[in-house]
Amino acid sequence: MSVLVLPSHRPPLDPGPRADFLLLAERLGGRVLYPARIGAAGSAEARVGADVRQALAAARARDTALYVSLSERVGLPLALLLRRRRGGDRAAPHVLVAHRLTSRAKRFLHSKTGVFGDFARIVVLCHSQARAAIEEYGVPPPRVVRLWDAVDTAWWSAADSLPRAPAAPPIVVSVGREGRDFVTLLAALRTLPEVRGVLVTGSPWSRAGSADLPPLPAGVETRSGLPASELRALYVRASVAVVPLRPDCAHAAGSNALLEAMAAGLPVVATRTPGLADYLWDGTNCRAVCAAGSPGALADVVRDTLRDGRALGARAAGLARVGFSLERYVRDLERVAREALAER
Amino acid sequence: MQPVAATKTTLVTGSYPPAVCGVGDYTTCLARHLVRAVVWTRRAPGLAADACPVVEAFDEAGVRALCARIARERPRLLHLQYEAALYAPSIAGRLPAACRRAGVPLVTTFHSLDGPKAWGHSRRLALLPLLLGSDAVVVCAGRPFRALSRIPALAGKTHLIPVGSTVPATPRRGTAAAEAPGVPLRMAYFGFVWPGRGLETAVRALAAAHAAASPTGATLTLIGEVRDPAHAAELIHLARTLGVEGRVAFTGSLSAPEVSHHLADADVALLPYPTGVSTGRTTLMAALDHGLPVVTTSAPGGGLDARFRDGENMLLAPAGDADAFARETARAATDAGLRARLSAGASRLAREFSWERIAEEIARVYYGVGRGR
Repeated sequence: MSVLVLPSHRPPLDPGPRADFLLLAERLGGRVLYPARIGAAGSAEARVGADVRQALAAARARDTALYVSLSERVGLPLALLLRRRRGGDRAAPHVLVAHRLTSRAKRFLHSKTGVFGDFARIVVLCHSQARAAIEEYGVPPPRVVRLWDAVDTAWWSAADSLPRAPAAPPIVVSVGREGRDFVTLLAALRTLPEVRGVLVTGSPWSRAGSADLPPLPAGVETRSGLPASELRALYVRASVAVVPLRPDCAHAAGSNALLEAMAAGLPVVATRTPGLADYLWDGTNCRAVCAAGSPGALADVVRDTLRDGRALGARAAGLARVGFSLERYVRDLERVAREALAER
Repeated sequence: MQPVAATKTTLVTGSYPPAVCGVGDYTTCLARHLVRAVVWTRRAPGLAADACPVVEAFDEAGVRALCARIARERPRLLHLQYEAALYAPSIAGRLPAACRRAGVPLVTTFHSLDGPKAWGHSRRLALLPLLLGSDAVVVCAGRPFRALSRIPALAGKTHLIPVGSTVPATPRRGTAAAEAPGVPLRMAYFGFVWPGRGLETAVRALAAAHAAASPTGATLTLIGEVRDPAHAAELIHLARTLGVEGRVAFTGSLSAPEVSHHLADADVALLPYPTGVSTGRTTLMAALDHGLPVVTTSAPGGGLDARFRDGENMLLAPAGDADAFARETARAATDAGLRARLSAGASRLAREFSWERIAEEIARVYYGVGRGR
């Protein structure tokens, strides 16, 4: 009997932060089942196909004591496939790490299938998603566990151990794409001609392009598919990181970008949304902008942070190191998995 | 000192090093001080060599496998280290029955009296079969001991045996270095960083000590895993508000030798337990074992262990009274003579809670159980 850990992507080949799923599998004495390779330019259909094939392979794996799905993309099809086992051969408990329960597609799927009731534990990364699981989907509260998101702080803080070398003109960096409010960010950057803006709009495993971005003002460039080592070098040269979010973001979009920048000792300006609010302590680890969609307010806070953000960055790096490490996250997730196992 | 000879005992624990867990650390120390004790636990990567993995996990199947093994091997005595989160709830009913059938005496140490989460409000009821079915029950603190002693069926078989330090002590920093001019007073808290540990009280006490110990001031190191980053952020904010931001440091999760290094380097331990100090606190025992002057709290309802003496081996403030705690901390910060007396008192008190003594008391429980059969 073994534990099957199902990540949503393969580890990048470039040197970079450690992968949570490898650490988790090691701690649980389990094995990792990866999705099929679809290449960098894979279409949305190809990606769905890869997720379903991964779920099928997992459902066929016999002698599984516990499934741990690290995203809904594999977790939901697998839960539906495991229903076919119910009856004679009872399915093993299934733990889902859910990132965004509140999308329209998932609401529809749950209304037709009640799939969120199938999980032994649903791990969410912010309070608003926990509320959605309990109040909207009727999942019993003991089965919903809120954990703090994490990044490999040891790896990202290596940037902090180098002398910070802010470029001139100062760089304002924004990393990530999901739920981002680029309209407001770009409008704010238009009023800050003294800075250079760099928008990193896709990760190595999710090479979303920048085609549908609003027109870029002078001094702003976009990058996509940046390897982690280059991103870390960018954090060293940048002066401020911005996480601009749409006000209706009810999931923890931007948490990874926030935590990476914190770990790298870079002061962060972020929009306070229902999802990210759990991670924002204004003046302690970031400057939180309440008025989403207000370029003037965002520009003012970025300007202030450019002037005196050094102490904020150092404070945030300390908090990231002790509070948001990958080790802590994996330990917490292991505890949840063992609880689910014990109830088998 | 030599390990204590006892009836050959099988210690059962749901967690064992390298897992970071107080129950596992307690079992390790106990097993090392008992002769002929073996440890049964679950399989885990990197499991310490002195433990015997008997199940994959203590889930329903694991509990059944454990019971089958008991029937097969009939150990002389089984000593369960119970903490609800470590086992499937069914262990409370199955294990006493299996031991009874196999004629194996069962001793259970309850590391907490909380039952399995799945039982909700009636979670303590889930413990009844285990409490009633054990031949002897061990608890580590006065409060659960008094609670269980009020139940007629348990009064005669419940034993209060304190915990010891699970952090082996390294020699303390010399007094000369500690008192050197310009060196701030180093204060330390040891334990998890999460809400409900009274850490706001510790930060307020730091501010008071920092002001009192002018011009060098004071620092506070929070030794232990940050379980709730939001709470750490609140503490940083509170420290900023009180003007001591740069004087609070978090270590994060550390190994026992690293914890010992920090404790050995400290001048005062701040342990502001919201429910008061007790003999069940391994963090207190670690501080005492390192000869640290301790500022801590007395429980609201009384019932302080007679060995804890205010001003002699620790400084006590009423639990929940942050001002009194800050006053006591400032007193310790400014009076080197008091710190020296408390340090000597702490070292004397630590000997009362040595693992040799604990193993002796446990062995007496084993002997009583064996004789009663």
